[in-house]
Amino acid sequence: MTSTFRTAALVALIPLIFAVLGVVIVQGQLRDRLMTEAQTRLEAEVQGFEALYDQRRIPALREAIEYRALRGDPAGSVYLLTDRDGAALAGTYESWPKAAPAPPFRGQADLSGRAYLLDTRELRGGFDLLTGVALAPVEATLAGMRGVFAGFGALMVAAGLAAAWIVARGAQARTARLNAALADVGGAGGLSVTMPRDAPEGSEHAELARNIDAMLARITHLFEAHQRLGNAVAHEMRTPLARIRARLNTLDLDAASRAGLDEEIRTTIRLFDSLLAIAQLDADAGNTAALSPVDLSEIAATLGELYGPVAEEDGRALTLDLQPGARMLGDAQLLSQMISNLVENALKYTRPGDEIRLSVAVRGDRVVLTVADTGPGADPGLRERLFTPFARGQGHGSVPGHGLGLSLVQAIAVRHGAKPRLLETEKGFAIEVSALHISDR
Amino acid sequence: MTNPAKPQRDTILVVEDDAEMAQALLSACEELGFATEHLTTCAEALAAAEAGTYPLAILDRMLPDGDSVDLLARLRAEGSVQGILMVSALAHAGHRTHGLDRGADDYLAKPFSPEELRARIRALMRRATAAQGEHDYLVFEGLEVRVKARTVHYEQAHIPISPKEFELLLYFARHAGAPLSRMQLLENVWNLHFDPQTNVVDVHVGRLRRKLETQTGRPWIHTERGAGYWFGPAETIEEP
Repeated sequence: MTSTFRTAALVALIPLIFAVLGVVIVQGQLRDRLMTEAQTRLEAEVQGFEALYDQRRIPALREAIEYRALRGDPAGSVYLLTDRDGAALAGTYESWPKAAPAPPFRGQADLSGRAYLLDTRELRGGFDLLTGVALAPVEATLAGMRGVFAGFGALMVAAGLAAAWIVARGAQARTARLNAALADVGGAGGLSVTMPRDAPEGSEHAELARNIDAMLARITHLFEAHQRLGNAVAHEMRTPLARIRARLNTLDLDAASRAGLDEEIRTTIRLFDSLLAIAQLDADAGNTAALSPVDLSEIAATLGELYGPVAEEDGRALTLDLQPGARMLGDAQLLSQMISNLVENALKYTRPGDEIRLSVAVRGDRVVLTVADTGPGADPGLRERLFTPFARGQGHGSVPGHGLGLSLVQAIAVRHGAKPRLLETEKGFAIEVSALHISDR
Repeated sequence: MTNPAKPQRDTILVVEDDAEMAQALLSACEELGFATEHLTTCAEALAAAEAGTYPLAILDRMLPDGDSVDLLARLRAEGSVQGILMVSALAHAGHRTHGLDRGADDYLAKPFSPEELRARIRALMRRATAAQGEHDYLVFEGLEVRVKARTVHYEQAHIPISPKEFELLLYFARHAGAPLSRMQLLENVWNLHFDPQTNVVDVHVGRLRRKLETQTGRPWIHTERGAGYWFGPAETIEEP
């Protein structure tokens, strides 16, 4: 049950509650009116009998009661006149009913299971007179009224719930369509997603869709400006560097200085590439359209093969522990670059004799890549900032690099919906990246 | 500029709007002994491809009338350009693989050294002019690279090398005599399109070079200063 339906149902139920309250009050008033009427009738009968007795004594009264009892009253009134010894002289009973209070009494009483408004009194001369007006018609009228109101109430509830359901279904469908469109944002559709415009013009849903579209257009514009700037910077910086490089050839330089300058240019280019790649990756984060199923173990195996001899020549041991079938949605080039950065990082910050372990495992629904080494590890103070651009290990001023390696690792991981995590190890440095595993087919 | 109506079979099409870069591209081609035709826009490139046949086109990516990546499919469909080398300042791994996926044969990031550029042009021109059929045996003065069996022999003696070393040797052997850059080797042998910080390629080439030298007693892989390496028989072991 959606929140919209609950709200709509509540709105529909509130009038019903007031209606029920109204019915209770009206019923109370009606009951009072009917009771007063019954009282008046009883009073009239009793006064009639008393007047008859005063004027014409017992025989006339007896005759009158006899007549009424015989003739019967559709409303079901009851009468009884007894003599001094309690013997019945006339009426609807053979003897004084047990449930009827002794005279004088005025009030409600149940006689043989039926409710009456009773009056019992002693007439002069010791005669007892019982007069009762049946309350059944009053109850029947009230029951009838309750029935009618209950019927209307049920109709109101049904109509209210139906209205709530219709309202909720419309609102819910529109909200669901908005949500579905929003879920595409940054996904396969990138940012060029527009909200459905099926809500009536002027409604909140229409306005919401318009506002979201405006917001997306603004974000798209900013992204594009950002990307244009990145490409322009890349182009504007590379072209002069290309000219510098071309002119190096015409200079009379010895091989060593030329190689040194070439290496400087290469490092500068790599720095640009990394910065631009990080910006591009951040912009692409969450967009799965450009990713395809890849086996992380196969990629790691290629990199392991590439770096194994390098590690060996540097006196480090690179060991691989790759579980097959580690399939994930990814970009093989980017994942290669990520692993390359992690392994080069490990090579850079370990000492001869250390071990570097590259492993890929499937754990539950995750594919987990770990690069761990037995080197001196990272300074505790630096661990916090490791993924920040240009943060570098202290005392590693002589180690080549620009401090963007782990930032790029993080950007590539985020591009794949993953996040790199430093592992707590007793010795050395260990980093883990885990991404969603996809089944083989 | 030559007249597109009279195409030349050994002419390299150079499409680059930056005058200085164009000069670098043109002189690299000319140094290698190829004729050139210089254009500056996508539209001109397409018109030239419709009119003539070229073994190689060198395309700058950002041209005044658009991104030449969008041109690749049409140039390919035209069938008159055999090889395409993209040269671009848009050069991180994503740009490179995008260019290659869309149909470029090679993607060279700006800035590049003239040696790197010449190595790429030479490799592509060789591919364009080489016989279509692939030989099973590549033989160089006693050194025999057996393509199908994936083994290498010297005067009938088997030289044990790893599968990756064989792939590296095969790439060298197919481009014998031509300098190959480290990036070229990394891209073609390992299929990696980014520049690693360490010189991983040097380590692998060094190992293969030593294995071949120890087994044959003569050098096969030579360092080309500033460019990379080239493969071929030589009489004496050069000094490192």
